[in-house]
Amino acid sequence: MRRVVGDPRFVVSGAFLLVLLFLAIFGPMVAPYPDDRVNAAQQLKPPGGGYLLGTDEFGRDILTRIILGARLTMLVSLGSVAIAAIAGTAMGLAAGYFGGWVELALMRAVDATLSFPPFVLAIFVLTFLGPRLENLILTMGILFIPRYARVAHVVTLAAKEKDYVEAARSIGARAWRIIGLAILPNVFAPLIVQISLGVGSAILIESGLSFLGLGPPPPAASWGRSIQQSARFMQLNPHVVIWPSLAISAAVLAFNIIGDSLRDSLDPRLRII
Amino acid sequence: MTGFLVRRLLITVVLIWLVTTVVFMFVRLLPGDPASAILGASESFQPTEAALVTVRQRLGLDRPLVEQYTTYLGGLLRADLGESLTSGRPVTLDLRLRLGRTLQLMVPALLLSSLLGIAIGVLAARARGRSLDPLLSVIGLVGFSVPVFVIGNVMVLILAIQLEWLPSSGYIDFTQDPVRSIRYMVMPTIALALAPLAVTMRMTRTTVVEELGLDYVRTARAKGLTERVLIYRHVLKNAMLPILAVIGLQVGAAFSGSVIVEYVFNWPGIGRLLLQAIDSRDYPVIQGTVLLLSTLFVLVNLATDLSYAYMNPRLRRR
Repeated sequence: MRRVVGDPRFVVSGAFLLVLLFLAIFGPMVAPYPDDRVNAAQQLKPPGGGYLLGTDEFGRDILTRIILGARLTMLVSLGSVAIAAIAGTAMGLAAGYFGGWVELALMRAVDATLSFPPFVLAIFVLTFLGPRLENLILTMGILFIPRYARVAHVVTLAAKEKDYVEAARSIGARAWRIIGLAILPNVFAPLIVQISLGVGSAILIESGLSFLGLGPPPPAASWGRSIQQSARFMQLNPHVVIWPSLAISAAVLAFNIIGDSLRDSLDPRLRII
Repeated sequence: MTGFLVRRLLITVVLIWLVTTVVFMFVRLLPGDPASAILGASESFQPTEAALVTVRQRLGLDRPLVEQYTTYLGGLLRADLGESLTSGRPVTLDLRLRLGRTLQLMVPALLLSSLLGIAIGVLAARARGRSLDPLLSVIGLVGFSVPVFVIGNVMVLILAIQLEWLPSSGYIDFTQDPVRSIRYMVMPTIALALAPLAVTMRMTRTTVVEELGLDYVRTARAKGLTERVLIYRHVLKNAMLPILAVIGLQVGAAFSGSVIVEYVFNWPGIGRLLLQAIDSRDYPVIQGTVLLLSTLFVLVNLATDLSYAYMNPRLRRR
């Protein structure tokens, strides 16, 4: 872990993500304006004046919209990855440890999920379920399960052969105890890398769906949707799309950088490179 | 190899059946009335009874589920996906037209991303320890972190609005006016190519760096092979497997990317068709596009697996 903390990439991205997390939780308390303040007199103001980042086509403060949008982005991306990581890891551990028909059934289900193009399937499902927040989180969570199940499965298969697992089994430890205490710790390192990269791609998918109008409906502030809605005005007022675009890109970049940095330090095989 | 081939083909058939069945069942197994789900009923919107009746009749939702399913599968086997609720045209007609236009973006984008991705990846691997390598790493990281619609908007702002070099969006048939047609193609193609380019480049760099540390490379250098021959004839050949796998994944991902790219650039491909159909709640068209895109996705995975097995015989036994 010391290697990671000394890595400037990790420190900078980590600090940025802490700010993002803070805004996601306390956004409404620190935002300069109430979000629903539609103000015809202040439409499409450039950055400056009372508006640090300018205003959008409804005269709403863009900084406020971005701060409030952080909550949706973090909720969807962290929520869906949490579901996927917990369910996927449990499936991978069970498949790897028990083998036999458990393994066959679980890993075939994972393969089947992978045979759908995730983004297209998410569009299809949300069209008929309705673009509610919980539907979005659950759909994306299920689509992300395979990558965690596969990582946990491979690691479990390797760990199962270790002497300490054999030792635990021979003194009569129960299966859940062996899995939890002897095998699960092996999964943590690759899992945390996958989680970090996974949140990055979850933000990309969430913002893409919101951009296409399949995210949670207004008045919820969303980075992706504000880009889509303001795009008509970008010719004369580029700031209306630039700020939310920067917000999404920076958030994805930060998670990807942390994932890279963690992989370099946690995965001993790749460390040589 | 034959055993592997047959097994892999059978799995593909099963997967395609699974995909078609999931798509069929999804609206029908939702709690509540499938017709109102199709018309997009919500707390704020209730479709009229007349609209519900029409949809039920046109889609046969009033008949028993088993009968609906056999009709559906029978139609699929005859390449019959029903008719659009809005235009009345056979869905397959629109799909064929739109798929061609989507491929018109995807094929050049993926060729570009694969060739440039490998070339730049090799460059980065050989520049290891010099300032070029971290620079390329950062560019690669940014390339797959920035959403495709942001890339699209930035290009429109710079190339279309500021410099006025290219039209901001739209489509012209190639046979009608080749030069103008290509001008419309440039930005969507680049937007679609950027993310797969970054991923291919990163994978190429990693595997080539790994290969360059192996003994045979030292031997080859010792016997006086030029770097060019060493890299392109030996190292890259060995590094090709993981690169190929990543390119296969990028082909699949490009179907998703093209939905957004076609929206940004108003390109009348299959992704645009899907979004238009969603707007007008045209269920047969939505179902048809999702089926087509999913089937192509399965086939791309098959092609990747087969070429993988062709290049690495050890994998065939699995």
